[in-house]
Amino acid sequence: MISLMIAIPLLFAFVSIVFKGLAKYALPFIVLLNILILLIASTPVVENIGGWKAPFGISLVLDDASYYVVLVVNLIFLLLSLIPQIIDKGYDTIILLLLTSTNGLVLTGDLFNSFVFIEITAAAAYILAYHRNNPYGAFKYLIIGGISGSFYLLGTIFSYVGAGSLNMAHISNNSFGQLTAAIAILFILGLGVEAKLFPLAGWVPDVYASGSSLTPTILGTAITFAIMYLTGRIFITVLHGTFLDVLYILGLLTVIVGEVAALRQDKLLRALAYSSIAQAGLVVAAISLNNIDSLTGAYFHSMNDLTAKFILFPIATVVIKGFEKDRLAGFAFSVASFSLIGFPLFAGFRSKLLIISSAFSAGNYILPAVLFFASIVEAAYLLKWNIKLWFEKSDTSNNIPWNLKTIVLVLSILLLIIGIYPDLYLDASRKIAQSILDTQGYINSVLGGI
Amino acid sequence: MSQLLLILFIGSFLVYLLTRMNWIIGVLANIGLAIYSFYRLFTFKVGTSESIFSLIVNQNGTLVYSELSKFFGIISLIVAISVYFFLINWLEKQKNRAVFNFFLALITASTLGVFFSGDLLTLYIFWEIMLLFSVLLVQMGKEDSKKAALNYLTISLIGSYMYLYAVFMLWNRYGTLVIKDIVQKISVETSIFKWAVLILIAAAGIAKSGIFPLHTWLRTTQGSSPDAFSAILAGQLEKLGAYMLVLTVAVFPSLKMFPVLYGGIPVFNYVLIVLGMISILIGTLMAIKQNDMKMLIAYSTVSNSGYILIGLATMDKIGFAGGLFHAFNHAIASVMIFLSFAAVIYRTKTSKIDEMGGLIWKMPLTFITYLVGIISLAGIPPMSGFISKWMIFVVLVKKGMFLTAAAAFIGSVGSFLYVFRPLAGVFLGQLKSKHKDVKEVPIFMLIPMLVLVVITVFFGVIPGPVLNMITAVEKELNIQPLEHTMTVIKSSVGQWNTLTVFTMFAVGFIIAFILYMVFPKAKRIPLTNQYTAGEFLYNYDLYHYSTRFYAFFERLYEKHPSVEKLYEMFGKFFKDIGEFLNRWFYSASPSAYLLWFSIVLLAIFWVRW
Amino acid sequence: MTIFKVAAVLLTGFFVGLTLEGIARKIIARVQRRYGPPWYQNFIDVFKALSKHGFSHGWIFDFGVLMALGGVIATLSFVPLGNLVAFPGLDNVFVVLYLFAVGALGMAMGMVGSGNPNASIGVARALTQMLGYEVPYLVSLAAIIFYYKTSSISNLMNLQADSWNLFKMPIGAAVAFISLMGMLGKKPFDTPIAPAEIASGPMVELSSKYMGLLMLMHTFSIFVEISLFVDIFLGGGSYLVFLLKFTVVWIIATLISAVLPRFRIEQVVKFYWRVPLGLAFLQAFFVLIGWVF
Repeated sequence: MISLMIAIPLLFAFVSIVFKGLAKYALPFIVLLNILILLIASTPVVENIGGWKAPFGISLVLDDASYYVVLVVNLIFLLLSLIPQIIDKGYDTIILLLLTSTNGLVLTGDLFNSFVFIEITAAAAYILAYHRNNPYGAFKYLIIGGISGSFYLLGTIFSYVGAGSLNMAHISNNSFGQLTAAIAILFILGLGVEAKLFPLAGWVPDVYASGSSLTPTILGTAITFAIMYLTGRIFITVLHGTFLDVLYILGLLTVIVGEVAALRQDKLLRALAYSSIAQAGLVVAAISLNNIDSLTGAYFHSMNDLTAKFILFPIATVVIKGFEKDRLAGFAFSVASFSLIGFPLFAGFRSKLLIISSAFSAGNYILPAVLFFASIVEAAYLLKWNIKLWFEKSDTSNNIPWNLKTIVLVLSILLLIIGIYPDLYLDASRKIAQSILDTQGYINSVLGGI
Repeated sequence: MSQLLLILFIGSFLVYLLTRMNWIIGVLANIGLAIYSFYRLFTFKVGTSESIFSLIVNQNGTLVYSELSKFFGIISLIVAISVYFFLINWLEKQKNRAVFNFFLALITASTLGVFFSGDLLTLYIFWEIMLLFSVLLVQMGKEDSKKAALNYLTISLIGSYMYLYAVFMLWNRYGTLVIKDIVQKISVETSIFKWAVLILIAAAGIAKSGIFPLHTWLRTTQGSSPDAFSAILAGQLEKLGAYMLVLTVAVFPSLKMFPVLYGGIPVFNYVLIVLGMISILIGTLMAIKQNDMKMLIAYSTVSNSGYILIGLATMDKIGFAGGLFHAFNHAIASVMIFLSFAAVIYRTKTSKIDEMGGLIWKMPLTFITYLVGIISLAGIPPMSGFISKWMIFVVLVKKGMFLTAAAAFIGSVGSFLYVFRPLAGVFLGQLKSKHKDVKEVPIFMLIPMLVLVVITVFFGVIPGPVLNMITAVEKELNIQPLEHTMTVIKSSVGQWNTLTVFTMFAVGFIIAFILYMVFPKAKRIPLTNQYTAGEFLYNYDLYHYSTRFYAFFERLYEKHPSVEKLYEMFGKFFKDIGEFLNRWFYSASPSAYLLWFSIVLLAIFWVRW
Repeated sequence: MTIFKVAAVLLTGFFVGLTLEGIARKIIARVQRRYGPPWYQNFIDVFKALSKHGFSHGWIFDFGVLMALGGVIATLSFVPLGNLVAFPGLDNVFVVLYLFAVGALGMAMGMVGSGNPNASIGVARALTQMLGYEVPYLVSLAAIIFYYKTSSISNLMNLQADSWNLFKMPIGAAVAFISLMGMLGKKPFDTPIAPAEIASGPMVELSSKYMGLLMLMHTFSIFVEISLFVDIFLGGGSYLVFLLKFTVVWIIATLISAVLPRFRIEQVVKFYWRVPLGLAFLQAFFVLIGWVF
């Protein structure tokens, strides 16, 4: 059943090569179908492709974690499909492909399979990044993405050598001494590029600021969230927390570097790209603390971040004349910024609070300090942009499509609601965190009785 | 209390809608809300506590009504009500009235929330709400307010995040955030922990009230924010800083937590006192230099916050009372001053001292407000400002803290200098020809100003009611209460009677007046009829001494080091680092990416494996 | 009773003050080898000025003059003249010093209100000078208050029954005397009125009764300033002894000023903050470690 979530988009992607323009209209229905499948599914579901039982075949796993992640990813695609204006011409097949691979990435219980999906995702991303005026950025992304992909593959091979299987649950069930470290290093390098970790991910600003509103909107939200899930799954569920300290250090570095680098940007999109880097670093650092509260906080924060970014990125590309005539868009933009900074009443505050309190409970006094520093810097440049856009003098409006306006408005109100009543996001992220931490449960549900 | 806060928060949305429909009704609604909460402050029973929403697991937010919250709540509502009245006419010229009103209402609500908070996290939340909306209000001012707002936000956030850090340190240690519980446990902690926590908590207060080294935002923020909002900023928001300082030195029992040094003052408080001294000096000397009248008073705020801090930090019955009373006086006085400035700017469209002159002939009532305001601010009897300064002087002298006392004296005499500058430059002297048609401001702007004049004079003559509130606060915080009657203030080194002083001043004035009436009447001549050493003058605009009023004195400290520049350097430093990172890591070529990639690989191999 | 005491204080201020000012003019004249006016010249001046028809620059000008005189009268009534104390127990040093500022503010306001830049410059200078002399003066007073644990002037006076503060704390007394010269506006500290530079500064627009009232105010101010010094450093004494001491201090101050040139205004501040302020801290330090003779 859940394999349909991968198969159907893939099928339509093929079909849309011939029937141009079909994808655009099919996308909402496909996503809705996916969501429908999710709604009737009850976790955990393990589906073995081709009838081979785990650990021998490829299995798709829908446990609590992947359930909510897939749900979020599909909801984002749903929102995206409601604003077809920002999907550039000729890119709709890619979107379908991206949907396929992201769903696969999250659902798969097989390392090699996840490599394949990562590569498809990356390939789709390269194409997305190859915007008219940004070939060089896409090229750089292609190079570094390719390298990281090979490292990921190498990691997969090493685990196969060690465990004799590619199944995540099976690998998790075996311990293989020295080899674990090698695998962990390879995965850090493999995932670090996609997870936007400093100094591996130099591609982000160039690609995000390519000028297309589609690229950052989808890469910075759905894909990032899926990668964050994968990071947690591989390093915590599969590798039992090996090398989390390296991730922790890289994460903190990313937070600081991302925020400081954003300070001087004179292009809004680039500044937002850096903010996205920094938030990803924060999430990775919080994941690396490896306890239930910090993981909950991390995924909660990631969800708040993607909600805010889904508002910020499209508006940032559309709005050039300021908010004087587009007050509603401006309102949404400001709310999203305040949520990113983490003012009380807004969603970001709740997740930051959770991360801080979990860090303190874990005896970690550095992460909060870094987080505070980052928030101050972030506040400075985000507010600068807000003020700048609000006070731009203009007589005409920016021609923001009504559906985009509605969506960002709804999302900004959602941010306010989450700020006051966070349970909606909090429950989902707690489920994700629990299920990622529950290694034994994962193994049992995938491998069954073995 | 939660009910009142709820009404205020919901009411502020209502204010927004009403202002959109008709802005005068919106302002009236705002006034109504403020007056209602002022009334409610007196109906609450001191000591009641309520619990509200929970933010962290097992931790309900609590609201507690104490004498302290009552005292500060009254101050901030007096300020709010008078400024809102002022808005009835003033708001006409402001853009985005609805948003302006809405934010003001939210700020008042969250300010009260801060004062009611019974635990540290609730306090933080209200604090940040207040911060956010005040930043948004600041940037509605003139052109350079955009940059000022960023400055304000950054420095305030430094303070409040330091505070939040301390909050979590405490939460981690005790599993509770209720202030009452924490203060009972904290005195037995290790000294490093105590120092860290209290310094971090004090940082929020220091940033908010504009104490050195976090005072730099005051000049630009107060200087360029909307004129009526400057009054709120000085009278209402900076008193939040004073509240936080009270929390740091008195609610957290600094006397029990730290060893006492010379004069029976805990060593931690000495650190604060030194900061207060530096603030007084910086504030005074810099205020003397300013040509923009709002910036001038902004620096005077730095100096007066220094007084408040010093008074509070002495933890002595008279010094602490002096600090609290000074917070009250400074709030009222600075609101009077800023409102009179707002009135002047409303009519003349400028805040530069040397672009005005002789406005007393056009705006006499505004002038009187300013005059009474500065007399109180500079601490001259018979206004209430002197009483609190006297109390602070007495405690410093009594304890033999001569250096601090010298700083306080410099600040006090220096304040005569700087408050006189707008008086001479703006209100007195030759009227500029472009201001020939200026009129007095409309009635609703005058009413709050004159009411504040009455309040200041009244509490200068009969300070008893305020002192009663202060002694109640002192009792609550286990400080010996100040001895006083309605008009007599006693200390161990002598007493004085405010009423006698006022009476004698009145008598002196009457004697002078009788002499004045007895002797022959003088002829009224215009201001242009002047002694000019025999020269003919055609341009009386220039016959007005206001540019660089104290040039001869400023010369003495022209080459002073500037903290503001230091911070600018920090800002530039971070930006340069950002540019560097951008160039080396993010905008680099693919080969550079590979280089970093391999460096990370090698680093992990070598270091970790 | 209080009323009579206040009246007595004020009348003493009026008669003794004006007389001594006249005597001072005589002394200066003699120092400069002139004959000089008679001792009652200042009475003549005041009454002459008061009886003329003059010019006013508007209500703030009038109000400033009234506030100046009223403030100084109020201040004077709190100052103990030897054993003549109008308000026993309420004669607090700080109250007197700051109440004194009301008069100064009133004068400054009225004079600047005349609209003449010379007056503004004079007032700016006067305030700057005040910043100079008040700080060392207040610090040395603070040392004394700390030592005696009282800030009531008559208490301070009575506590010196055995030995004067002049001898107990000579450095503090010296500082206070130098500051007193500044307060009196005597040379070398007469920069604010400097007739040759800024046309008598604040007084430039004065005529008739305004001049007269301000002359009275000036007399009372001098009386307050010297009385404070006599009470606090010279042990006060009975009414007559007090007046005697007062005369001596006044004559010494006059003699010193008769032979000195004038400081520039920034030199005044520099001087006060360098020498007297340092000495005042030294005195405070001595008081702290108990070196009081």
